[in-house]
Amino acid sequence: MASGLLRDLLEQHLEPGYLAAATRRAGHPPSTRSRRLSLAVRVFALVALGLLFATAFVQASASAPQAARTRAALAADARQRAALTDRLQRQANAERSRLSGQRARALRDSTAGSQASAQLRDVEVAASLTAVQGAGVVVTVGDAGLPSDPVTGNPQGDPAAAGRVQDRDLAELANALWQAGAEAIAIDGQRLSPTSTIRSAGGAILVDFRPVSSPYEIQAIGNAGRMQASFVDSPVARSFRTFIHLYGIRFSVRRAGTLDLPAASSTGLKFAAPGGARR
Amino acid sequence: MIATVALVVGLVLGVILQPTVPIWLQPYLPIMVVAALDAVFGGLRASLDGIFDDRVFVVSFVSNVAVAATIVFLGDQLGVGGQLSTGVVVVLGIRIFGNVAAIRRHVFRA
Repeated sequence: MASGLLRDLLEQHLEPGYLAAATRRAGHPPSTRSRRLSLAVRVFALVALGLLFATAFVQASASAPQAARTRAALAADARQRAALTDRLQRQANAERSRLSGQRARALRDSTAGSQASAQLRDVEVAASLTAVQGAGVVVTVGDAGLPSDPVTGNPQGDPAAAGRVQDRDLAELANALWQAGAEAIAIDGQRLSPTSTIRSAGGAILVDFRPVSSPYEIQAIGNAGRMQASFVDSPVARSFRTFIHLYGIRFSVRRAGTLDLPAASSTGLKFAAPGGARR
Repeated sequence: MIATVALVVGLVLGVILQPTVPIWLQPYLPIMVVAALDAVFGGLRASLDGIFDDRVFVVSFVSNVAVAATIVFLGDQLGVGGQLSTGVVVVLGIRIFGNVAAIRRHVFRA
């Protein structure tokens, strides 16, 4: 039975009805009236057929660009907002440096003032409120590349299953760098402040709510030689070296002569007020 | 000749009128098109074989389209719509392929 069904499927492509109708018709020439009727039916069916094809075509061509348009609009919106944030951040940084310049000028005349000014500068650097410069190390981690399809050359396989760097990995690396003696850290140019967050949303990793993408470059300023030695020897770096072979991720550490790290996009404290020295 | 004209008239009508397909029918449009293609190639081959019959053509066209859409609709209700539409496409695809091969043998004698 099953083989009969399969054989029918593979061998009998024509509607059996055509053959049956032909044998039934044999010897009975159709009347003019029935011939006219069948012609009308055929025309009607073919018009309906054309209508169906055209409708399906219109439908398909209308719905595909709609999705693409929505996507493009959303992407443009996101880019525009990102540019706006960048501009506001730059403006804030400029205002901040102007402020600290004026403050330093106002304070430099007295000994106590210049002392307070120096102290303030140190605290600001520690709180990532000012752009800093110095020698350090650069840690680069990247997702494992997907194996490419031998025919099309496109990446194949599940991107989620491949060796992907997670938000937790970046946080661990940053913590290991702090531990190794880093004084300032930035991930893909996003300076980390004491209140920075490293999270994932969907497939993207967000550093202070700004997306960063693979390969991730973690720049850390500090005593380059000692920091590199200490970091490379840390448990985190050791486990990442095994990840290279295990998951195919990219991981490298190098020293850099001069690193320029921007100020963090800190929003400031909202609820906490400095205690102790009340005026 | 008349068949081709009727088909073109239908296509032009569809493009000009752009009938709105009800939203519940939209998922079944592609499978209906595949079923209609099967009927068309079946009819073409039958006419080349010299056994074309209008009644059989119309009935096969209407029932093919309706049955294909119904099967996929039932599958959707049962939660196996994707698999059933794959099954329908495989069966109709094999038939279309076989009929087109027969038409090719008629036309090219090869």
